[in-house]
Amino acid sequence: MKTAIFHLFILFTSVTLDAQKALSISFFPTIGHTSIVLDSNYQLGDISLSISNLKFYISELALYNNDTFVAGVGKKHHLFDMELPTSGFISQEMAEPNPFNNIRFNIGIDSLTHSAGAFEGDLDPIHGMYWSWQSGYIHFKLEGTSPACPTRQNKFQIHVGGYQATNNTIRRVTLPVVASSTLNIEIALDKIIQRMFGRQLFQMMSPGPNAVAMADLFPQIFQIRK
Amino acid sequence: MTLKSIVFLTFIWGLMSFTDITDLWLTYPAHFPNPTFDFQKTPLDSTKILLGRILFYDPILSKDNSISCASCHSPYNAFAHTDHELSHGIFDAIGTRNAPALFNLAWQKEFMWDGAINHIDMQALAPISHPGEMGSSINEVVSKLNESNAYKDLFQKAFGEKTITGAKVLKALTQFQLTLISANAKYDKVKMGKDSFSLQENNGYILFKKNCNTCHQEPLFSTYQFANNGLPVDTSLNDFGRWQVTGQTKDSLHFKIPSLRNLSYSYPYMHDGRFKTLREVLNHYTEQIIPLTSNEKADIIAFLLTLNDADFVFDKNNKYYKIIH
Repeated sequence: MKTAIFHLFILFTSVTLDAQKALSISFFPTIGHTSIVLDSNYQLGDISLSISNLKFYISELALYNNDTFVAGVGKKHHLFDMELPTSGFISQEMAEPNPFNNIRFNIGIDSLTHSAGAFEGDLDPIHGMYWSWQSGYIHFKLEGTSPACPTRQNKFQIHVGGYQATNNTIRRVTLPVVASSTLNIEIALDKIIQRMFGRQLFQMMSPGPNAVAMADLFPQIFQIRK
Repeated sequence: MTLKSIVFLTFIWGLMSFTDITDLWLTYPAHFPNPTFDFQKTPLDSTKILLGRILFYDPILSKDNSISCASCHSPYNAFAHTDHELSHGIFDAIGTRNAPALFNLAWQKEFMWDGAINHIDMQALAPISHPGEMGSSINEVVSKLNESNAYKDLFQKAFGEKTITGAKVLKALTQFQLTLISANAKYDKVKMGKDSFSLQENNGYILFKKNCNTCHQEPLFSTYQFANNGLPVDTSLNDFGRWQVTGQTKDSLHFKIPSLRNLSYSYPYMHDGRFKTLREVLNHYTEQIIPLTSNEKADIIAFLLTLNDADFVFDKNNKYYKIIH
């Protein structure tokens, strides 16, 4: 009898294990398609620069098959933080391995969450991703230095936020994928950097048209890589 | 037990717990509207209220442990900063606005004179991190609190977890501030049939309803909307109020309409504290907008004094609560 129960136990665990499949998604930032680390020098065309901080919110990450929702991945709101290597990985046990052919997520926080008070975890204001003088999450933060920056200590600080009406900077990203248990997503910072130097906008810290124009680049900076 | 009876019992239990909340903590008279704060989503809790009260009076929230919330929001001044046109923070820095009185916050949706804050939870972040107020940051506050065993115990009691987070600090402060309810002034007693206005107060009330009630709507004595009351900009401050938040020129010089409750405790008046007396305030309006005779002005002031709520101002449940840490 004991052996029978044991066998039954083995049977059930193995079935569960088979049915569950882990999906893991990794995000990695690049300049000129080269993976980057913090506080190192990189060259983009004739711009030389280093990144000291890159943080942004990935929210409502989900798998889709054409326009049909297949499964959510990870927490509703996820803070990517270059300081914390683990924050670049999002994984999820998938109960049923349904087919999917595109992945969708938002860069930023939805307006409902924006005005619903304090939250724990990735949304806790201790992460420096909340504006204290005027309510609102910073959706995307890029900081660093470049000798070409005519600012104090050659620093640039790009804080993209704003959730109300025309100033909303949340952006939807849709990437076609070939279903796989691992997905690598490149964050190509080139366009953001080029915009910053092109417009000579090295300090952005409030909602408005400049932030909106920067946010409009978000859907173009993410790519699936092998 | 059938499914039906389970559903029914859950329903009754839900009703009971809600009644508890309103009976125990959120007492307000029948002539008040329903609060805008969602108490069903975030119910009040006595351990969180106490924790919030302790934090409110603790200068640990400031960079050099010198300034607490109560430094500029004193209970004896209806949680305003009496006698200071502009509030002062750490290192004797002077701010740009008059600290507003704190009460009936559960009926408000936007905070600060310009409505820049969209939820009461998030309000405390502004003074904590402002270099001229508390000069700290929520991270710094959280790490200081995490070093205190007394606070760890209090957070454990309130939230069931010893680890202190930014969200918990903010939510505790919210809980205490929501309990600051001013609803027992003479005006309220008259509304409840427990008192009556004098002839002069009643004349003032009639004049008030005719001339002031659109913006300072009873019983809260504010619509909590934003308005330009005709004050010229102070060129030493160049504070254009709500315009700085919305970016829309129509909001230039719009400030939040303050409640008129507890006026005697919360002078000076206006967003920059430019008027010391009620008479000056009234003169501003009568010269610019509403012509009133001096008798009428005296009657209005007599009525406004019925909005002083001594029970609220001297309520010992709102006072400093000491812990050793």
